[in-house]
Amino acid sequence: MLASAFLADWLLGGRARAEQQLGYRYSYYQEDDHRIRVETHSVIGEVAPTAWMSLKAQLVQDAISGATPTGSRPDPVTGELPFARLVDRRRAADLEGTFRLDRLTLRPAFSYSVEDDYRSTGFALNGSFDFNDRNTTLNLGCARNNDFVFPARRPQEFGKAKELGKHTTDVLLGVNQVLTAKTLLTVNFTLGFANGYLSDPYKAVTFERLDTSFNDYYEMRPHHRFKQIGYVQLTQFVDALDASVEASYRPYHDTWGIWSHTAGVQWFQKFGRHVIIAPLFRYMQQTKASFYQPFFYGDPRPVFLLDDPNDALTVPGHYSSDYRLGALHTLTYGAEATVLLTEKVHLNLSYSRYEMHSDRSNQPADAFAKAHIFTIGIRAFF
Amino acid sequence: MKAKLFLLLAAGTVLLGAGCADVKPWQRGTLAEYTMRPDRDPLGLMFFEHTWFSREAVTGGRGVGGGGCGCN
Repeated sequence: MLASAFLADWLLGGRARAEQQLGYRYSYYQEDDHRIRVETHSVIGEVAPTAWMSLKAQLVQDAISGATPTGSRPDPVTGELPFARLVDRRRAADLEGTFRLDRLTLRPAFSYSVEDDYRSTGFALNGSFDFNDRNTTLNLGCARNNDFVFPARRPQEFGKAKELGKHTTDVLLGVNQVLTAKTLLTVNFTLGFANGYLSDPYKAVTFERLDTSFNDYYEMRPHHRFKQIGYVQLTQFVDALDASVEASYRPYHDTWGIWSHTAGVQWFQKFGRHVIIAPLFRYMQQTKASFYQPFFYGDPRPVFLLDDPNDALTVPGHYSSDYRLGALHTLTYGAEATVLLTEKVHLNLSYSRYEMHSDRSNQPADAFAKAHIFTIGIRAFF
Repeated sequence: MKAKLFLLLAAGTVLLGAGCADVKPWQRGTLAEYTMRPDRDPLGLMFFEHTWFSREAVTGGRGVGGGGCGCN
């Protein structure tokens, strides 16, 4: 996201001062079968008191409610998947400064978010350096997040601790390149490191013992994760149709054994001077995490508690049945309409459909969500 | 191996761009158009990135920074 800000800043490099803006957006996400609903209110404000400095703030409030799969095995008799109801509220603030020093731009940023059972604090510093008559910009970014989880019911990993930490560091190296007067290319490479409590305290796994009895336990993910992420985006203006197209591709790999490919395309078609219709399509595919299974055999409790010690032999070091770590693909498709009420006031309306699909027959297909997404927003520049 | 390939691609982009692109500032009218700008809808982008982040095991690529979330 911040890399996008770099690119925008660089495109507008000829302007004396960055645009000041104020915007609001309401988003409504509703999964089928009355599952999870998320209502989001977000606000953006940006001021540029001098030509070399601007300050931007984004505030978000998410209201989350509904039912989500627990991760437990479907009922062997009815085949019904266990769900848990949740209600939560997330409030987040992002503050970012932009400081332009000739061909160098620095963007320090601070972020904070809080939920009933989660708190996140983040710092980032992004820097960009442009050369080749501003046709090429090198971007370097580093971000650090220190998060804490404090659920009402604490899995065994917590011991006596009331909260556990989750720490992430991301480093980005990227290039923005003007290929022609109507073609832009962005290439990024990101390394991400995460350590600490990386499990979801609300996700369960089912273990079946040798005597065929079974119980649910908290999931146990690895405490470390290393990610490698590529990103390529090409934006092309199409003169003949008075439109532009943006296409992107993201290869991904991490030490949890997940490989993923994401491709997206969005077409921005102008109708006159005031209306832009932008259909979009996104496809994401991921392989399963190495420690994901729909259910497990054995008993993860200490051996001295087991009736049959052989139940300890089949318990892996890490285990999760969170369907989001399974082999899956997702589709996002829809369209956005932008109405330029005036040159300085833009109205946005969009509808999208989001679909998750299991890629393995042994995964519980009912767990994979499908949702309708509506958004409406307005933004003013001054 | 793939990481090295990607870095090579990035380096190649710089060299190719530095060698070939010669777009002057006064030729950038199209590049600054609303539909070509990556910051045309920051709140919309943030919302969709967060939706994907909370439902998929894979995230990132566009940039670094921003707050965490207990949803994933």
